[in-house]
Amino acid sequence: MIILGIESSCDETAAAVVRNGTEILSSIIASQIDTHCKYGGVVPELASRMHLEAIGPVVNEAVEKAGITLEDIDAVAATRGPGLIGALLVGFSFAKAFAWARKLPLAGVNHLEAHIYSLALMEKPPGFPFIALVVSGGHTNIYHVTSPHTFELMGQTRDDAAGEAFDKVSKMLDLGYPGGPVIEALAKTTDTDLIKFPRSMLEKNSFDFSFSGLKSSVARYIHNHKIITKEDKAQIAASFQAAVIDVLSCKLLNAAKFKGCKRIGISGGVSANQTFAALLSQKAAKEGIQVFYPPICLCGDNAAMIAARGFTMIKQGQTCDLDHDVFSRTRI
Amino acid sequence: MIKKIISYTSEQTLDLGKQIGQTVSSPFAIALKGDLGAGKTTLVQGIAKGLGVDENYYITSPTFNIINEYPAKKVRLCHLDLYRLGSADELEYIGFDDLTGPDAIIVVEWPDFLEKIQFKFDLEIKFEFDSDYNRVISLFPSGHTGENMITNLVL
Repeated sequence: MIILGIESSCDETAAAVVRNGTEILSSIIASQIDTHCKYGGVVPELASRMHLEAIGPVVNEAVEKAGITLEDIDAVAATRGPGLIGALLVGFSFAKAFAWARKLPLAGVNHLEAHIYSLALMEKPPGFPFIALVVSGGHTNIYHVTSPHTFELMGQTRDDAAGEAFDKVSKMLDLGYPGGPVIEALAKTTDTDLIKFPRSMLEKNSFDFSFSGLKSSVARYIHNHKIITKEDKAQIAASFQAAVIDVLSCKLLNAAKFKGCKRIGISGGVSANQTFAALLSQKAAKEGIQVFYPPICLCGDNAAMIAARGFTMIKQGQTCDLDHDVFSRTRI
Repeated sequence: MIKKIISYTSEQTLDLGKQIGQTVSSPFAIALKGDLGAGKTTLVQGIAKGLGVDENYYITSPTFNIINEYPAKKVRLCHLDLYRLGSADELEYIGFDDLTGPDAIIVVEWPDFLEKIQFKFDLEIKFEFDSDYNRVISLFPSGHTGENMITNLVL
């Protein structure tokens, strides 16, 4: 089965063609980051019109690169939420029209479940059950995944997402956007992380996160010290990153032990941080736990993961019709 | 009447928010101004508490989502962060007009674009730091609704 996947929940407009939920024939991402990083914003502007301008060309390019024709497409999968309503509507409405015109089944995919499915696109995906972390600019969620359709939310952030903390600290240090890659690169220029920023673990046995105290304490440190040299900034970047990685790793390992899981899978933009992936893998190995993380091109928002999740939904008969609408946040 | 408090801990910021949440009646609009890490989201967490938003909802940063909406007892709490907006016409794109209404308590971080289109805030809350890095939080009401609220606010 060949599925056309479409993603437009936040800043990226993306389309992909995936065969049988695992084989990526093409994956195109029209990123808006290049346009925005020159402004040095903490996060890029919405640029609402860009989704509308990008969606047609991106889908055409995905079909062309896959070496197929429109007639070869058997089903469509598009992100339904959570995300920005205006952005979601562009991709989901496009997918609805496409599926309706060609009489194809349509899957309305949950963006967070799709991130977990980026692990299914690896050469050797984790088997069930496993602990999954979706960590990005908008989310920091831990799930216990026991089947292709069962995701138990174990914990989430109570204030800022981990990726958002990276972006905001980067902004405080005038390092630009996106914050993750610049902070990781700067941290690598020093061997030490001497500043003891707080690690907020919340209550014992809680799998929730809180990064806003860490952000404030970096702001306080910058306020109280004269940050002049690149070395000063590198020290802050390394110490901040170490604090985030400590908290994420500790919570993940606790969750794995709590559920008796021998596998952890990380996905989302922050999982592209190689320092995090390496340190987590080291710590997990000591506990006999294996860590899975997707290739960098599948860490951030992409449409291949949407198609992968859509494939399993369509096989289950979980399809959408023209009456279905997008949603901005996951309901409790 | 302008009210001002110095907050030494995030609990104090939370408490101030709670008092505000217990005092406001809908519709009401608040503009929040202050640097990163000043405590804006913490204050909104307190407002949610004061309004009686179900504790199962986490009041998280709206930076990426732009709008977070929470049902409270008789009102809706709409928490916005307009930092990412490129221009005032993007307000339509995020569905701002659908948010307003008689049951809306609107709290906006980085409210510049709304001020540009003369949107009327009942209260402006400014976060500043004193020399010891404590938060100085000032409340500036505007119009009858804002003045009445600030008169009733117990600090």
